[in-house]
Amino acid sequence: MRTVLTADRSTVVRAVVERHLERYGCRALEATNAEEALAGAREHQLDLMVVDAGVHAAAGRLADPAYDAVPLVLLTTDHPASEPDPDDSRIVATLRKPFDAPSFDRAVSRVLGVPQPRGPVADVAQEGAAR
Amino acid sequence: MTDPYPVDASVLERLRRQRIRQTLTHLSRTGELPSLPGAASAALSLASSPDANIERVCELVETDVGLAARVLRLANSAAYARRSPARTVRDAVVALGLRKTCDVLVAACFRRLVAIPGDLAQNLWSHALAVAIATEEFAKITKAIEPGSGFLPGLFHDVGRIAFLLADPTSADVIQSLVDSGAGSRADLEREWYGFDHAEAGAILAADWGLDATQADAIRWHHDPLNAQGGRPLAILLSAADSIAYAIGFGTGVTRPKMDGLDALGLSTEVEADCATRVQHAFAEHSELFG
Repeated sequence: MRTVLTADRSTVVRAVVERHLERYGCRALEATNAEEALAGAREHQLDLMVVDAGVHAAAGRLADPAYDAVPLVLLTTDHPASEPDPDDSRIVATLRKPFDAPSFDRAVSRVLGVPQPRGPVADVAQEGAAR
Repeated sequence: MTDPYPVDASVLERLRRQRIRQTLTHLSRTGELPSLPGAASAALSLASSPDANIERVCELVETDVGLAARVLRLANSAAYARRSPARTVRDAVVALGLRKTCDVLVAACFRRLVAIPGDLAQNLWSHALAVAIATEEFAKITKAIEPGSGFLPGLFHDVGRIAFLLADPTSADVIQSLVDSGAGSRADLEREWYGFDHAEAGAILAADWGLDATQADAIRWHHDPLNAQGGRPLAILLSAADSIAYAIGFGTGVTRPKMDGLDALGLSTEVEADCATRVQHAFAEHSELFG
C-alpha cells in the first residue's frame, strides 16, 4: 500500500486531501508543520507528500535528506509568496487551494496513477453542478 | 497614527466580491456561478415590481405545466381554503396573491437546482424551506419587515452552502463532517478552505439572482444579525428562523446555530412554541408540494 503524507496547518485542507486519497486506497498520514513533516519522512517510507507551500519553505530550510527524497505536490494560494521554486525538482505538480476532485487527480496522477471509481453520490453531484 | 495610504472601503469590498466570484467559478466545472432558471428570475422580478399584474403572473405560471399544477394545489390547500375551489390558474393566482404565487414559482425552480442526490442536499433544501416559512411567520408576528417579503430571503439564506455543494461536493461534505465532529465552527472552517464563508458567498449570489441590497445584507449577516447594516431587521428574523428550523428538526447538522435572532426578538416561550407549530404544519404542506 502506498503512503502519502499531507502537511498543512489547516484541518480542512488535511481532511479534504485525505478524503480524496481514499479513492486511491493509500495510507494517509498527517503533519501540521515542517517539523512534523520531516519526522514523518524519516519514520515512514513515503511515496508522495502533499505539502503547503509555507510548510515546504520551512522544511527546506531544515535540509533533511529523508524529506528531500520524497516527490511532492505543492499546495499554493493566490499569494505570490506561495509560488513554487522552478528549480525544485521534487515538485511533481502544484495545486492551488481550494481545489476540486478533478484538479486533485491531475496533480497526483504522476505518482499515484488512476483513482478508483468514485461513489455515485459524488458523481451525480458533479453532474448537477455541470447543468 | 493615520494610515498614509488609505484605501477606500468600497474598493476593498469590490475586490473581495471579485475574489469570491473567481473562487466559485474556478471550482465550478461549468466555469459559471449557479443560476436560477429563467422562469424563477422572471418571477423574482415580478415579485418586486410595482407593474406586476395578474395577467403577467398567469402567463408565467402557464409556461410550465408542473408549476401550474403546484400553484393550483396550494391554492386549494387548507391554508388558502375558499368557498369554491380554484379551477383555473387565474383563480389560483387570485387566491394566493401575486407575491405568494411568485414565491411558489421561485421555490419550485430553486428545488430543481438543489435536486441532487445525497443527504446534505436534501437537508439543505428542507432547511431552506423551513427557514423561508419561519421568516414569514416572524414577519407576521413582529411586523419588523413587510409581511410577505421574508419568504425568498429565507429560502436563499444558505444559498452559499448550496453553491459550495454544487461546485465542490467533496469539500462541502468534509466541512459538514468536521462541523458535526466539533472540529470548529462552520464559518471558520469555510474561511479556512475557501477564504470566505457561505454567508458572504450567499449574499453575492442572492444579489445576482435579483434580491435587493437590504435582503442581500441580511443574508450576509444571518449568523451575526446585530452586525448587519440596512438588512438588520431581516437578518434578525433569518437568524431566529434558523433557530426555529433546528428546533423542529430541520437543521443541517448536529450543532445548533447561535440564538442571537431569537434573543433579539424577545418573544415569549409560548409565542415561540406557537410559531414553531405553525411552521411545522406549513412545512408539511409546502414539502409535499415541492417534493
